[in-house]
Amino acid sequence: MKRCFEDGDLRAFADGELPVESLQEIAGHLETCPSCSARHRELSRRAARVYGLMAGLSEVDHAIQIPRARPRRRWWLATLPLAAALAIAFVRLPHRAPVRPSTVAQATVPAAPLQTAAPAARPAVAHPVAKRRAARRPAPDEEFLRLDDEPIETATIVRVSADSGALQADLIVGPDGRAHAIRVVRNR
Amino acid sequence: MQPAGETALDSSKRFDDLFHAHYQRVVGVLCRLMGDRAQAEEIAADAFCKLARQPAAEDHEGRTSWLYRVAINAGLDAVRSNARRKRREEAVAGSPQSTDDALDRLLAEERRERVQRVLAALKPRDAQLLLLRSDGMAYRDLSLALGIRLNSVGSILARAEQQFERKYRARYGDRI
Repeated sequence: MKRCFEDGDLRAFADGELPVESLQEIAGHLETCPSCSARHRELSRRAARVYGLMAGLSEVDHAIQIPRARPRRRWWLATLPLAAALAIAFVRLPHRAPVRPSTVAQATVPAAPLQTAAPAARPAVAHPVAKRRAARRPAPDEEFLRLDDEPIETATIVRVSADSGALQADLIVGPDGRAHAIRVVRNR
Repeated sequence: MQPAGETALDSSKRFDDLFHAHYQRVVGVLCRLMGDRAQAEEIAADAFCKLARQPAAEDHEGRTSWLYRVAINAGLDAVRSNARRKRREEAVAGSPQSTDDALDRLLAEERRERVQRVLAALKPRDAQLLLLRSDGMAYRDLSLALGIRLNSVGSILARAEQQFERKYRARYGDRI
């Protein structure tokens, strides 16, 4: 008779966790060895009892999602449209006429909808040219374009103009100086 | 401390790989053990945080087995702590009044608590092994997760099952 097997081998055999040759060897041995056969039976039955009891532990009833890190907020990306608009303005601007904020008005702006708050914050202007143009209203279809999705509680609406006032835009600027929304002002 | 030649980026990637390879399994095992998904996720997250702070001197296998050992041991500690708290609460509230509808739930809860208590009374490695095996982990993965030789998994598992049954019978009688 071939050598008898350890409990560990018999236990791994019961789980089918051995190389094929070992599985065949042990299976052949169990047919001829009552002692190993009895131990194998007892190990298998015990395992069934233990895992039967452990089945009483809570089942995981739905897939576990791997938490994903929130993408780092790149707020400066949101300012790209503004930067692009200003770059275009510079290209069109005669060099003697600098871009400057012409007016500043403090307003409380609700988070949404933005377009309902904007008309109430029309600034009073000091510059004579800007003053004339301030009387003109932006076209009704002009709405603020959100540059981010952060709620706005208080903000300042700043009008910037370039090209001697030919190109104007309203910015909603938060207390931290970041622009949250932009609206190009089209003069009629 | 990082292994020679390893950059912070390499170290970060190694952690990322480990996280994606094992997070679901760790939470799943803890969830089964504790029956409380939120607590399971909290303990898993804590184990991964500790892993991230570990010196990266160990190899992949070493870090993996460290992770499973720490996570499951923390889960077993929480089970012990929960059991103590529940005994205190029951002592204050008196016996809960069960309705017919609640009876099955109470019995299932009792079965679960018995298994939890027996697992908590075992040697940590035995409890870790039984939990991971009952979760369907193959021997090769058990070897990696717990840092034991592949050829030893069967014998350690057989002994752990024997210990579990012996302690269960000692506490709750021969009817299993």
